[in-house]
Amino acid sequence: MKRIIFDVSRWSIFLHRQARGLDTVDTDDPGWRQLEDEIFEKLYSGPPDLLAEGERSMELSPWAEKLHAACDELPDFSRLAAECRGDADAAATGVESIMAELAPKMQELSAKNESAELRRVLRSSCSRAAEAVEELRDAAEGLDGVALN
Amino acid sequence: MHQKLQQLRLELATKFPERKEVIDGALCAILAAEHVLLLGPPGTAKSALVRVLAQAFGATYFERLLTKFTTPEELFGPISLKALEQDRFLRVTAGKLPEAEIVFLDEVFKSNSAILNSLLSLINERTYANDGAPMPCPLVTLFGASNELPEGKELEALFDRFLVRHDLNYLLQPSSLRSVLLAPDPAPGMVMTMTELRQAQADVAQVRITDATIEALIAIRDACRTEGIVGSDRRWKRSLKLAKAAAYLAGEKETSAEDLMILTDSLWREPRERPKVARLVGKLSDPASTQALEILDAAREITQKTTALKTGDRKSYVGAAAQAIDQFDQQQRKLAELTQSAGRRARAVITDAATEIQGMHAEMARGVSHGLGLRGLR
Repeated sequence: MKRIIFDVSRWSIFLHRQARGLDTVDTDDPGWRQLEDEIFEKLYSGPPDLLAEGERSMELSPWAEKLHAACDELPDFSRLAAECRGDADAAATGVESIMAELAPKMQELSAKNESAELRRVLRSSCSRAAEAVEELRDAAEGLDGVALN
Repeated sequence: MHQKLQQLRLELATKFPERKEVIDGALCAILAAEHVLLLGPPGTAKSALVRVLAQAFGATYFERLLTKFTTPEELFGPISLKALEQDRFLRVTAGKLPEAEIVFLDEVFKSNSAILNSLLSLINERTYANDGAPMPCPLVTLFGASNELPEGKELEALFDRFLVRHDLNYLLQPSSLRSVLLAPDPAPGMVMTMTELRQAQADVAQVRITDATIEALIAIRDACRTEGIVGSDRRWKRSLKLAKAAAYLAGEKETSAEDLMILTDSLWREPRERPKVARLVGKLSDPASTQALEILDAAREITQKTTALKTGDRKSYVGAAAQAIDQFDQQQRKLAELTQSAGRRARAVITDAATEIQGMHAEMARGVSHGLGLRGLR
């Protein structure tokens, strides 16, 4: 399904939204939600297919391209993706943590157009995300041993 | 009566694969005496479905392909020469639209102004002004078909008369196409008489509308309005008739919020609005069915994308198909989880979705074994 610059599978979007209890997908989803879907797909199943030039969002694609390129260059993001591959809950937690750090600075970062600053924020958000995924796994492991009646 | 309708519904679903929503929409429209618009390219079984429905009820049937040059005579009958001798402008309506119970008008938006007014009042009031005198018409449901949306205010009025709207596309699954190619022309024969249908319509009118349904309808209307999807008050009122028909079809004596799912194919004005409407209606009326349909959409997308690789490199096709099979497995597990929280009607939707995904799964597995050269091996 068409997002900002990637064609993300409906199944991945479903898993992402379900894991986070979000609204179901809509073609008119706000840009940040579409960006989350794209990051989820990268974490959950690997790089999605790029949309053809004409199909990309004119308004958002320059910023999204820069952000995705920064993610691809970061070893922290690759490590996080390896952790989350095939695990929808982990990938959703990863996205949530990354966006929690990124969202408040999004406007500032896009205005400044500074790649170094973007990489710094992403690195820190990836490390937060990795911690959150680890906590999620610990919690799930702990809950496995508890009988809920 | 309800059982006969269920039997017809199942028979039609077998004869017209991938058309369950259209069949349900058409049956509800017939039960509510409302009209249906079928949008889509030629060759999507629009006329075949309507013909079979007319046969199933033993209804008087009229069908016509409209063009810019269609004359009133073609639809409403020729002028009676005998009456003309007495200065009367009377049409001989036998076998024409004013005497039909089920009508199919192909390319309905090609209607010209010569026929539009008569057509509108016939659809609306079920009367035809023959020689100035209003003649009552037995019309139950008019099915209009078109390949495009109407343009212009005159046609807008006609568009608005169709309470149910479906957007049809070509069959997706090879197995569906295979069954259509191999099956004889669909003809289920008569399932119930028009008298029985009229009785069923009277029963539908008796279905009680619950407060929960009204609350859900208001919530849907507000949500739609926020998203820029605005329907007239008349449309919202008439949509309750559809909800009653949906409840009746499900064997209920009163409506529930679930019955409002039928509004998905009543509220959109352009096919591209449909997913948004489906999301809004589904969230507020039947979340379990909505999730099931989303899973089904995802499975269909996987099938479409994987099948597109079939003509290319064998290795990438087999890889994608293996991944697809794994995803179909996950989807079937999700559907099984959903069943636990679903209501009775949502369970039927989930079962249908699961059956379709199983079909895609089997088809894909066949494709993989063929791609690996295992065809014929046991």
